[in-house]
Amino acid sequence: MHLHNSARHLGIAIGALALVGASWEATAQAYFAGKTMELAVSRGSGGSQDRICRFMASHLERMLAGGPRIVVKNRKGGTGVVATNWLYSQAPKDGTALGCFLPVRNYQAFFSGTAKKRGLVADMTKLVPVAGTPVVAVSYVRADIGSGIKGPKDLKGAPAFKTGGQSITNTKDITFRAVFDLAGIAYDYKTGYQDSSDAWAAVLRGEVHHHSSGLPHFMKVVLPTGVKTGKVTPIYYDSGIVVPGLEPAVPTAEFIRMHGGKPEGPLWSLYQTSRAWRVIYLPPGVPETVVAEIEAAFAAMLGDKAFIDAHRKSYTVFPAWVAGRKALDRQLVSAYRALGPSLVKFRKDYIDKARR
Amino acid sequence: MPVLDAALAGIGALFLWPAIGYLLLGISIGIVVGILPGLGGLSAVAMLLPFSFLLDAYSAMAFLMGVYAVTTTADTIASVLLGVPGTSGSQATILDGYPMARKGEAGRAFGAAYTVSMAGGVAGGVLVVASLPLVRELVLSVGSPEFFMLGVFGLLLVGALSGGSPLRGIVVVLFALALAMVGTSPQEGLPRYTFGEAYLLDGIKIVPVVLGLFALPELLDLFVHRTSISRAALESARDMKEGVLDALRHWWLALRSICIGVYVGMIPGLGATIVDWMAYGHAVQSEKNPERFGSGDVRGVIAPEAANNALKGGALVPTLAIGVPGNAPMALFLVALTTHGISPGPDIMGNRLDVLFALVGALVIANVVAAGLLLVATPYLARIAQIRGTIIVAVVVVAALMGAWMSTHSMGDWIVLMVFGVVGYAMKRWGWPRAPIALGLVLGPLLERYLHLSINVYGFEWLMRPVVLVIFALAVWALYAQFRRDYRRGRR
Repeated sequence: MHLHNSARHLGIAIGALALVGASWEATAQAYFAGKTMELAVSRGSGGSQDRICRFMASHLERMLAGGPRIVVKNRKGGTGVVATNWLYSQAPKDGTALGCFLPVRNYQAFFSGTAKKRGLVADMTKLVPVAGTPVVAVSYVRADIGSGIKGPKDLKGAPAFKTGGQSITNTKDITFRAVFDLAGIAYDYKTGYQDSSDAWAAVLRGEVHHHSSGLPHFMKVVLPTGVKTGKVTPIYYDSGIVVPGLEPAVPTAEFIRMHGGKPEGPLWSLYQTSRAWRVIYLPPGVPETVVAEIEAAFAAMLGDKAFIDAHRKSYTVFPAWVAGRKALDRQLVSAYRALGPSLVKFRKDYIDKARR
Repeated sequence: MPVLDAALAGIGALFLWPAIGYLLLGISIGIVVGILPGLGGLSAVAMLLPFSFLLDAYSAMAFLMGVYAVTTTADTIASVLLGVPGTSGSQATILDGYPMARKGEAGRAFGAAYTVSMAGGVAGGVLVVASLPLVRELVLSVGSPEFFMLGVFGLLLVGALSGGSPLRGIVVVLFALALAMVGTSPQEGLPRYTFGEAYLLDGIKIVPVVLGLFALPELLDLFVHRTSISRAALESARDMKEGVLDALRHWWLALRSICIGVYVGMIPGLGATIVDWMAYGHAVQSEKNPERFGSGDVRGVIAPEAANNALKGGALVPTLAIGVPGNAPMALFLVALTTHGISPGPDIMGNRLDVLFALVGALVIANVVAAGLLLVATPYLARIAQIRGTIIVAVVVVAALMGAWMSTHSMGDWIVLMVFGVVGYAMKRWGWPRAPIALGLVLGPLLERYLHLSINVYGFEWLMRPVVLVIFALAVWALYAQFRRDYRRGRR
């Protein structure tokens, strides 16, 4: 009888635990079930930023338990300020609003004390980064400079060539100027092209000789129509690691060393704090369990075969995304914290030098 | 692959299942997108692009081209009936399209617009194929100095868009050029005249401005007079045939406008926002009785509608030939192509000519099908012009607010809409031309960017470049012709 009762109690206890477990799981699953989430994109529709954010949204929908619907909204304006301000101060704090930004200029403004001038109200350290990827840009030059450029080493001793940029304060302009200056390569800086397509056309018609394109533009346009036809040669790319398929281009630090320079000092710090990232954020104040669930969904996505295959198909490379606050804080936010007063002044002087 | 075989393979594939189904689905979506003000081909293609990755190459191209090709055919409905541009490519259509609707000639405007839209789309497709061997040299002959001079040439259209008051037109366009300076400077990347407002960092958006200038004053008019849009009796079916005949009668204007559309499309960076104004300005400059424009002249519908559809064929050319997108939606087509393993340049021009012909075929078929469907629907659509004004006002308010909101999804869009609504009402009331504001806002950034680049890259040698000199000579000649005509008209 006693045993029978004990068994009955044990059964009830197991049943209760199972019920609690089931309801706990159901609650966790149910959090996003039937919910409509918004992913705010900081640029207009159709651009590379818009495309990759939509791509990530479609896979996040699949990975989040409960299968929520994610609506992508283009909140463009002020090169990301409008969307960032919205996420920080107006977006719901329940995990249903995310932002997909290129935040480098906002970090620079925030850590260099020029946020107000830029109209930025967001505290960039309070936004919660849940996933991010470094933006890899590939530098290429016309192959007909001097006696011909077949690889990055051939730039040594080549006559000064015209670089084509987008604006004096553009992060891509600052990074390629810094790389050439660190490597001691002579160049004639021209800027003002609307985007990489505009600059690519200028390279093709010989108006300028160099440009630095984002990886998707390089792989899908420059590689087939420029590199394979012998019109341009890739020379280096912004990455700390070797990216297969970009040969003869080499990673930045190697390129600098190849030409007798050293990747160190304030100019190297400026280069590193000017490199762009794409980051997906949650606003401050989202419950910890919800943040953790979204982080877990991104972490699972990075190992998901369907995501990896789709990424390779769309962007021709293996996804280099990083998931989780800790990793992103280490790689991203802490790097921008280096923008102390002396580096801010160095940056300003470096930009002014180009203006002169 | 021989050219004829490739053409047969590419176009033939469009008629096989499921490609034909996706083409028709794309056309249907494109018509809906074109009708809704504010949404355009770019937004639609951007939203549907990920879906196209799941399809085979032919189906994907048919689907996306179906959507993109017909938005500038269907956008005429809002432009003519509501005075609200359906897309950024039909802003100039409202100048004569809406007055035609008010005269009870909406059916005629539709008949003419759909006929030339179809012709523009088909001719654009044919010209793509014809110009491919020359395209590389043609596109690459236009550098920053030539872009700047084309902008100057476009600016001279101000006389044509000033409705007989060139001096007022010049004042207005200068005001608009000053407005175009608001935002982030293209070379420095620094804020300019933004007063700390993040909304203004990207400059003043053209769509809320045009909606405010043109749609809101008409709305007030409808509300105050409590009439229908059309103050004349409905004869839409007969009017539609008249419109088709108008298009045939003015074939020479349509052809010139198609050429403008194709060439502007081929030059990366100019795009849809400017092509309708260029074609409209050209029509006013070159046609007899220019004083009739702006008061419901069918030629004012024919020119922009022929050009904005022809532009799409033109924009395909640099996209496919050298990987430089002719406009923003073409950048998305490039993504779709490369995702399906087809690269621009030698790959598509040599190995995958079948895909090139599939794209051109889809463009042509979409234009013909959409124009046919919309012509059939015209008698019913034209009835909207007879609906009581108080009902239409509500629709136009929603359309204008929605159209403006689509620019950046922020309150700033509505503030700009309202401010320019007041400005537009005042300008209409006191007889100041409104179209030069749009011209100045479109051309201002282009002029600034390319003047800076011309001087920066070439010094003052850019002034001696042959193509620059030719465009300059054409501009001087156009200015002289305008003055001579105004002088003669004044004497008469």
